[in-house]
Amino acid sequence: MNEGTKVTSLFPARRLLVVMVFLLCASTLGWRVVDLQLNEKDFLQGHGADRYLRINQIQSDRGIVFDRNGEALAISIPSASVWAEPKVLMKNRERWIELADAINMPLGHLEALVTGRLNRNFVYLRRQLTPEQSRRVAELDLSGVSLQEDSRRYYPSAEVTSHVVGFTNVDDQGQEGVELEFDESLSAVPGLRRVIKDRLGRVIEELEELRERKKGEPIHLSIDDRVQYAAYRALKTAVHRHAARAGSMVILDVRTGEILALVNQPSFNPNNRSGLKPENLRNRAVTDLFEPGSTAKPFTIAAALESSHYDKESIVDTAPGLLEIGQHSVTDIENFGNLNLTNILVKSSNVGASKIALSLEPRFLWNVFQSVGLGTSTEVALPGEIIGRLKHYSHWRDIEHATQSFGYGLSLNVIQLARAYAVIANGGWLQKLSIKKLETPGHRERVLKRETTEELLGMLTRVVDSGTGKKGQVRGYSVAGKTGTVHKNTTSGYASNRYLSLFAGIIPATDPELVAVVVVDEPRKGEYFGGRVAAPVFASAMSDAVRLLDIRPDRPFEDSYTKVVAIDESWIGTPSGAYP
Amino acid sequence: VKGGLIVLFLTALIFCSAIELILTRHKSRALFVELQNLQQHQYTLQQKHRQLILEQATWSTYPRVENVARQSLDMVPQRYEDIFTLR
Repeated sequence: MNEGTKVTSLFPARRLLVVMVFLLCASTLGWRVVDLQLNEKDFLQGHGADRYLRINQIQSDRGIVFDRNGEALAISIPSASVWAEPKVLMKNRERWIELADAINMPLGHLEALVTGRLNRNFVYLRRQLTPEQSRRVAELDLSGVSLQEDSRRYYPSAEVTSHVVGFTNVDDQGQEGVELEFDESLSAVPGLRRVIKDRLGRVIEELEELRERKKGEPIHLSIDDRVQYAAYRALKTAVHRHAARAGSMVILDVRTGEILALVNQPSFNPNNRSGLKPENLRNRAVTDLFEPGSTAKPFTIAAALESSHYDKESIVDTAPGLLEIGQHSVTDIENFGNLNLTNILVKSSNVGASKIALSLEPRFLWNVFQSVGLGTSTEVALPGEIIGRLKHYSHWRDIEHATQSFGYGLSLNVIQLARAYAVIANGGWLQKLSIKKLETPGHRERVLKRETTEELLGMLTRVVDSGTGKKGQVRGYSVAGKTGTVHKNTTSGYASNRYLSLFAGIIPATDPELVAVVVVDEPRKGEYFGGRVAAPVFASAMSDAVRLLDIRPDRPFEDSYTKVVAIDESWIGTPSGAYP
Repeated sequence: VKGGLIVLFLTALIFCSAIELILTRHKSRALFVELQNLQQHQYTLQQKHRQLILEQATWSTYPRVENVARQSLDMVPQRYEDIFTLR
């Protein structure tokens, strides 16, 4: 024992040194532990988490645009964009030719794209590949080239519906038409989730939802794709035949105010917009203004009938076909003499309309025009509507008071004119228009008396049966309509040789279902009368539309071609060839 | 002795619970993987559906229908003369 004590006390300094060294080591380690735990915890945990935590995108597609019968007009399909890291891609230059071929791009273009951006880490080579292209790129397995999932929007009915539907840009944002107007509800936002992935990149656990996925809402338009095509074809044929500058046509459902068709020429293909002229994008039926000319006369007659100073049999003396107002004069194409109200429309007498207008208070005429919506917004959900102008009656000069009556001095767009004719067609209601399919008709307000519109319908039927609108006839149906031929108002006054040809029609006149307005802008092949240029477009489109929409003929027996046959029981169930 | 038994019993319970935890954890992973696969499958089917809608819409565009009717099937719109009114 004694010896042991002696030994331990032999080298106290050395022993102290060793103990101190151990203590120092221990406290260094201890301090490091504290340091890691307290000071660098976040940094270290973050880096650790980076090895297994990932943020996953939950795909979501833009809503589909349907027509009223459920046909798709715009739909997003998954696609891919191919991008490159220029520096990496430079290393295998010998395979560029394959890559260029796979993405359908000239080799020179690809070289310029890559070599011109060597200092960047990311260059899109081509966006929105077709499925075939992306498959080929994936098969190339070229380092420095990657695919990125996105989606591409397709428009199956292409230029037939392009002005209504519009289109989106490569980033899936609406640019025109319904795509722009309803962008918010159509657009989709991909969801983001924090997940844990294993070594092989498989998700093994979801931790939290960072952003909820927003699905693109589908939208059902009021457009009927079939009727739209009928209108498109009829209008395009006419614009081509008359070498016209442009044209528009709109067809409304009289009862609901739904827009069944809306077409413009020239049009464009939304699937391939390279080389597109900006002016072809214009939805002219909504964005362009014109003076309605003679197509406004029925509303002057409506004012006359509503005023109770006139009735159907009232006679207006239009002789000698010329009316002097101050320094201005209003003329007819010939001296029509005494005309009743119907014949003022049938002959389209400017003098007659002017005399009626001048006999009415300016306020009264203005009120009728205003209430049927001439020059007031339709508030339809299409971008870029230009409201037009109906000058307030307190600013009318005498000549303006007269010219309003035959549609000069006020301006409006095609859908406004169609809505105004729908007032005549539906018994006097100003019906709110809709580009979306409706379950219940929108707001409406009474603006004309039922008797007034019934009388007008009768008069307008005469215009088509025996007046200027004969070419607007549709076999088997009564049509009420009015033609218009308008001198275009240019910066240097009214042009003597540039016209708008107009036709506004209602079918069937006895129980109206459809209203259509046709405008052909600057026909340049000689003919320019609304009755000869625009009315045939109406007849052609509507004869298809009534058949497609199963509208019952209201004049089946007045035509010599129709045979009236009694049903023989034995026919039922026999093939059609067996009919007599 | 009695206290020892209780400790033994509780140890056994803890052991069972631990095993159960492992099993549950495994099951939850397996189910999650299945969910992932099904979601992926659902997405694929949705995309397929969209593609079919597009395909259907493309085949049924009216210019094409009209073309086929006129060219391949020799169809024409019925003439007014051919319409009989039955009554």
